[in-house]
Amino acid sequence: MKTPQEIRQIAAWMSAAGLGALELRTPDERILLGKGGEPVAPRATPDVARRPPPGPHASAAGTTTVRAPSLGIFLRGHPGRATALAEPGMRVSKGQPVALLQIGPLLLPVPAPADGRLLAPRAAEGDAVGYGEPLFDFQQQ
Amino acid sequence: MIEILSNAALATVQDLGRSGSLRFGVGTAGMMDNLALAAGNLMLGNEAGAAGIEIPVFPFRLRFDVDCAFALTGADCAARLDDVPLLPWWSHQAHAGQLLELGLPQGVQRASRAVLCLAGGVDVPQVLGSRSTQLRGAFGGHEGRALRRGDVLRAEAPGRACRTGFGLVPPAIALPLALDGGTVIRVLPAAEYLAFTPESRAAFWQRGWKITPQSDRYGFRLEGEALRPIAPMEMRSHGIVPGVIQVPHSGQPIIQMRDAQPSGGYPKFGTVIEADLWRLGQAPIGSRIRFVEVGWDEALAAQNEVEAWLRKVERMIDLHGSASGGRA
Amino acid sequence: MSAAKAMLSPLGTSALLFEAPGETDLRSQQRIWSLAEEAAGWPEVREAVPGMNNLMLSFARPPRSLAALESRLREAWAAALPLAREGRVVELPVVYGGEGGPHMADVVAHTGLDVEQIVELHSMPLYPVYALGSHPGYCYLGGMDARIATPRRKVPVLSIPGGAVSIGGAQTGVSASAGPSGWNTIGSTSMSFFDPERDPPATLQPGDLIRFRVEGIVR
Repeated sequence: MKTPQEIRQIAAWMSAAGLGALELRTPDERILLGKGGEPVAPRATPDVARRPPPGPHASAAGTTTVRAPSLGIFLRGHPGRATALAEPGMRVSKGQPVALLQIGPLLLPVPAPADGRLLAPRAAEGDAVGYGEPLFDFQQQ
Repeated sequence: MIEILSNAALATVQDLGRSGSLRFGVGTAGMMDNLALAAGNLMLGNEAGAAGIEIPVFPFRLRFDVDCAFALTGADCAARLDDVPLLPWWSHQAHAGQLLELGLPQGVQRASRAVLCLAGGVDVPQVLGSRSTQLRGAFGGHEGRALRRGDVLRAEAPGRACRTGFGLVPPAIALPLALDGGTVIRVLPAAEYLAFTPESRAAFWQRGWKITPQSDRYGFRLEGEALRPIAPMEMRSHGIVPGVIQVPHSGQPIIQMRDAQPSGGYPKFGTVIEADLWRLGQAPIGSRIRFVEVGWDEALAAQNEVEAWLRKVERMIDLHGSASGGRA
Repeated sequence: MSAAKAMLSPLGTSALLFEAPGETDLRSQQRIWSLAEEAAGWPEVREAVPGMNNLMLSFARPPRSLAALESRLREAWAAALPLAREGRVVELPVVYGGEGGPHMADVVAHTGLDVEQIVELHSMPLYPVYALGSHPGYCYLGGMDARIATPRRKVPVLSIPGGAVSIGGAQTGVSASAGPSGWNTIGSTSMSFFDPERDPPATLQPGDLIRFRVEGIVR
């Protein structure tokens, strides 16, 4: 659960990055941050209770997910370079950056969670993603 | 301690420049890409004006003899830390014994100078209020000269625990300024602008200019159609600043750069605005540039835009640091 | 009193250049020194840098509107009284011509005078230091005889050594260290003009006087 202090910090960050609103979804909760940066009351939609919590994409045994370490704009490659950081099918090592998240002028790395193989992307280039959102399927090895 | 492993690299220690000694004939020197230095320093939690190393010739290699956080900005030169490829405009934690190698500039917008920032800044003495290298006169920076193989430099705070492993969108992308895919530089006309023929003035703005190989930190010598004065001019020596575009008798302009003399006597066509000096400083030898005329207000607005970008960078880095609670 | 107005022009947004009207003479230059002292205290000004009958004000922060600053500068100039300075006389031994004076022939060609005449006209006056600039410790001197004036070179030379005695247009000066120059070098001398650890770092200052003593003439 995010503490009120953490929520305020994220709100300040959003405001500095020029993001007007953001929905934060974690396995435990769903928070909407509005234009003023103040948390709005979580919408208790019936769907939320019935929908299974976001988890590993259960397409094949042994696959897991590369999740966003932060909110931001999902980028497959560095803006100054023509190629993506990593392509589906590539072997990567734990901690290796496989994509980037842009927050205003800042670029944060999306690290591979373990040694393994990067699989299909779960978000599109330029998507605004939230903390914990799945970005790639990943096969741990 | 970092040890330079490359020779003949024209690399120098520079900060944002030496001010307050123009009246003794001491020019400002300083980073050709001052924005890259400021941003790289902010990434490490340094003062924006801490000294860094400007690297204009590649490949360039150095070894870290102690653990030290560093940031590499300016040109994307396919850098590797012990064979691990690095992202451009990024900060890293180096460990003792690691080798940093910079290759040839590459990327979507090929720049020409890399800027290496160290935790706390490069530790050299201040001379006349600055750590920039004054090549003519041989003082400041590292022993008043370009770096050589075997030189050992120190960071002010190598042991400092810096947040590393993040980067910035390069200002060439965040603050774009291009015309027909080429580099554009904004110029404010100078005192002798109207003393040039109307044809020369029109040609200056309409045509591209090539940065010849005789270009360096003192000045960029341009090649193009000669600029002709209406009548020959013989001028009195007067103060100038980096960015002043002088036109000697040959008619081929010379843009005074960071190591330019603080005074001169050639006719001045215009001055590259301060906000675009970093762009010009990154234009490679042999590349073509175009000039665009601006007035005072536009030049000030451009300066404000650059300063606003730096403030935003500083703020976002600060928030990033506190929001993550200091996790590495 | 000349009715011609001073010329003010921007150097980008980094500085403002003030060029006084009329001839470059010591009295006018003394008024420039006075103007520099006045303007150095203004909040927009980082440094006031005298040149030859002109003054550059480098900005600490460029003003939003130049007009007010220009007005204030014109008023200060109108009120500026010549600042007389008690200067030292420094004598420099010069070897004219030869390897140390590679452009003597160009001065001969332009002026129509022979080497002896040029040396005599160059070494006779007592030259007041008008301003420093160009490179650390370099002095711009007034008082050169107009008969030996020679235009700056079409293509600047990539490097002339420290101690080079040169003529550029109607001015003369001595290089304090090796570097590029567009002037015509007619001789050489040895002298330390600058020490960055000293305060002030320059050996000479505006108001001092230089005399060139003929040590030799090489043909």
